[in-house]
Amino acid sequence: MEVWQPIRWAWENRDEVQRWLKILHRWFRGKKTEPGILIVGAGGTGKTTLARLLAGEHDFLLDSPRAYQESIAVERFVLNDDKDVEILAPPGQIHRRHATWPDLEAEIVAGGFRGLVVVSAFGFHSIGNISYKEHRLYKGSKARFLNRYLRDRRNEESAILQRLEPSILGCPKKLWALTLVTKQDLWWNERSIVESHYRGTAEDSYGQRLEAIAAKKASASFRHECAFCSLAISNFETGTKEPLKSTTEGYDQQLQIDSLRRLFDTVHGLMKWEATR
Amino acid sequence: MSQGTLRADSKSKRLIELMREFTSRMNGFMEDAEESAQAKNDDWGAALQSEKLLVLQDRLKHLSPAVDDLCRHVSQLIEHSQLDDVTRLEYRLRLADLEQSKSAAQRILKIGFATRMK
Repeated sequence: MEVWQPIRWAWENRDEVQRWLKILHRWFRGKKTEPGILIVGAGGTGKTTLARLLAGEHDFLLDSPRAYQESIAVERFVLNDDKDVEILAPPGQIHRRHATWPDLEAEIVAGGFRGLVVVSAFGFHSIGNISYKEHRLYKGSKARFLNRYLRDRRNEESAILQRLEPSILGCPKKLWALTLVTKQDLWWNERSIVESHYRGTAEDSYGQRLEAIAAKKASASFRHECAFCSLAISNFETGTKEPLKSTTEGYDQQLQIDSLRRLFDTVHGLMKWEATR
Repeated sequence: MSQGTLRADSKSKRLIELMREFTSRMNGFMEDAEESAQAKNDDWGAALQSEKLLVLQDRLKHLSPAVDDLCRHVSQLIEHSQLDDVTRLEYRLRLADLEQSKSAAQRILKIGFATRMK
């Protein structure tokens, strides 16, 4: 396939993708009286990109990926077609969670959200403006550092799930959780491992932990789904532009749009489940 | 002591100095805004105080991007880098102080404007 073909394909399908996004906007907006949706996840997983995409501030086809900028406070995005509706995304850094997460967790318990989007990235959490050589996990080898880093961040993703467990269990209303695994362009060659990790077939995996939470809730009041996608095709590098991993060769915009199409199908399932209340 | 440790110590010192300096500046903005908002003046004085608030707002607006970058940089060090426990704790305390002072300065300036407009 020539280079321009996926780009042309993406351009030709742009209208369809925009239509999905509009449906997503409307769903996120819900009815004025309905509780909202919360986007959570560790720092650097893509929460802000997702919120910007949903708010209509980011065009995945026309906008080039932004350099990672850590969110300092709870970000509030207003939907471009309804200024009264906010998408909330609290910062994911561990030291910021103490100040910004408890209020939102209390709101989950109070039934203030109808759904949670838990953003993960199979460990590919963007690093800000510091060198990987300054990282606590760097011991002299870049390759070993990357392995350690990805493992460490995956553990952090599971820790977030563990932290959310009491709030999810305490929620008296119907609640769904969508684990959105981003940065597919970086782990595309390992997709079977990634899917096992999040879908619960691998031992001590994220998915198994989530299954354990789901087992404690009545099936009519909790639903969980997993979706895998790429919100922006971009190499994995530090904020100081040190390359850590290139996007998978052959991962193009056609695959990216396919991933968004599957995300939409998953969301469609959640919409139907919500409607059964 | 190794070169690496020396470099880290001197970077740490500079970051802590910067955080201290800008926390104090942010608190200064807040105090000046409060003073300007409360000042009782004749017409000329009122215009001057309103202008002073505008100047403060402008200075804060110009400093904010760099202050945010400083906050992000320190936050990334807390999250990712190799730090001894006390330095990590000091970074956390000073970062929280700086971010809260900046947020407070922005809020007080906003209230200051609203008060002067009445």
